[in-house]
This record gives sequence, structure tokens and C-alpha cells, in this order.
Amino acid sequence: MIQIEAAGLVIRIENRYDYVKNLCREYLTDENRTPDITVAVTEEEIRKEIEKAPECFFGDGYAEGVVVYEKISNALPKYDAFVMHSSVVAVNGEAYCFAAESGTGKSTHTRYWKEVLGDKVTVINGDKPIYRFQNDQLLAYGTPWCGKENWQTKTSAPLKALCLLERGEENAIYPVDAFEMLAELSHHFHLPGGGQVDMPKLMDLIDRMVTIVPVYRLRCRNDVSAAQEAIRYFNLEEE
Amino acid sequence: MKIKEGYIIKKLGAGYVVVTVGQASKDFNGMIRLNTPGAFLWQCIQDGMDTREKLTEAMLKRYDDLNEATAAEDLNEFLDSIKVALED
Repeated sequence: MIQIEAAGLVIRIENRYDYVKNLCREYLTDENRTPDITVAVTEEEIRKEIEKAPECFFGDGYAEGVVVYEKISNALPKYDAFVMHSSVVAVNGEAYCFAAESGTGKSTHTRYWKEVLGDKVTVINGDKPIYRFQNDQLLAYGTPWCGKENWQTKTSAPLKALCLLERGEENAIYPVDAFEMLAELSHHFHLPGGGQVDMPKLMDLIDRMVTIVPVYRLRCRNDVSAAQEAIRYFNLEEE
Repeated sequence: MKIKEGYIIKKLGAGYVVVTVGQASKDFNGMIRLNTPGAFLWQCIQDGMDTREKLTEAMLKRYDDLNEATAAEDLNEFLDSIKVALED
């Protein structure tokens, strides 16, 4: 058993394999604290996870990690929090998130931000950050589950903008409405497979998010210029 | 007409959206966008108005500048958009 702290929550994980403990090493917290969330995974759930995508088999421990995070994400809405499949960076203490279908170029775009802004940019999480409302702000939090690039920082920052990435011949950035965002991202709000999430509560959180965080379409050429354009749009070039 | 179990309406920004919960999410995994008049009609059906006549009447009462022909047209369009959420 391990206990971690992520997004301000103490999470107890009744893990079977060391993989999860190793993955979470930066987030471990005192085992005597009272957990907000407790998750346990059965062997059967691990088998099922492996059967879903045998070609992505990276070991039983890895599969356990996937199911653990699915269960954590299903438990989050109660704490005004959710997982949204996205890459999120912090610049000058504020967070910008990029969401898109897998393969559209979230990681590549994030890499371009690093290229343009250097040390000024911190990747909070490259793949599956937790977003949580705290005092009327929506904060993006680092978590151990962060995709194959392994980009994550144990930190948080208020979310300033949500960008829907799309590939295109020309760069463009413009506001889009909430429905367009949700229609595109609905299946990114909780990890697929569980189906145990409190949907009405999750919808309330998404409504709250679009009320305070502007949503943009960010059309990107496949080079650094799209990141430059967005960085200019958000006035992040100067201190 | 009646709305199927598991189809719920939620506010989203300036509009509304119908999503599914529980068992219904296995049949329909998408979402339906509704504007304010659409949300009004959804509520009417939930309140038990189960015929086109009752719904048209409610629309005419609610929207002063609406005539019967347009109301019928708008209602058809609305019912078509929420078809998946209606019991046969």
C-alpha cells in the first residue's frame, strides 16, 4: 500500500505491483494521513485492461497503473476535480492547456513552447493532468501519470486558457464556444472504460470551467511558428 | 411522447446540453446541443406535455411573436434533434 498526495488530495493506493510505487515516488506522502480517496485494483481488472489493447502491453504493473488512475479520475468530481486528457504548461505562474485527439501533436506543440520560451515554461503535465477548483480558480496540477515523454512537475497553476489543437496549413487562434469544445473533448474528461464517473457532477464542473476559462481553437502548422503565434497572442513574450 | 430514462439536461456556458447517465450511456455516448427554446421544450416534455399539440400550445404561450406554422416547424426540428432521447 502507498499513499500519495496529488491535487491537494491524499490518495491511498492498494497496489499489487511495484510499478505504481515507482511511478508515484515524487508524490508519496505519510501513510498515517487519512486518505480522501482509496483505490484498489483486482487481478481481474488488470487482465481486462491488458485484453483491451494487448499491443500496448508494458507489463502487469503498467496495466495496474492505468486502472488505478482511471479509478482515481472517477473519484475526483466529488472534490470539484477531474482529469482532462491534455498537455498543460505554466508560464509566469499561469497555466495554458492544449487538448486534442491523440496524434494531433500535443507533445510536439508543447515541445515548441519549450523551444520558444526556454526556462520560462514549466510542463505541469504532458498528458493527464488533474484540474481542480480551489477558491473560484481552476488549478492545473501535476500528477505522476503524464504520458510517454514523462513530462510532469509537482506543482500547480491557475488555468488561463484551454486551446483545442488542430492541424492546418496556416496558423490561427480564435475563441470557440463551449459546445464545440465539449463535443470534441467529451471522451477526454474521464478515462475510458470505467464508466463510474458522476456524470451530472462532472458536467457541472465543465460548465463552471467554461464560465471562467476561455476556450480557443489553435490551428497549427507543423512547425514552431504555431507556438510563436499563440505565445504572442497570450502576450507571454515579455516579462 | 416521453424522455427515456438516463437522458439529462445540463447547462453548458450560454446553452444547454443533453447527456446520458448510467445504462443509457451504453446506448448513446454523444451529446445533444440545445438552445434556450430547446431547453424550454425539453422541460415541457418532462413536465408531462406528451403531444405535439400541447407542446405547440406551450410555445405559442411562451413566445409572443411566434405564429402557429413556425411553431410547428420549430417543434419538428426540435423533436428530430432529440429523437434518440425519446421513447418509441
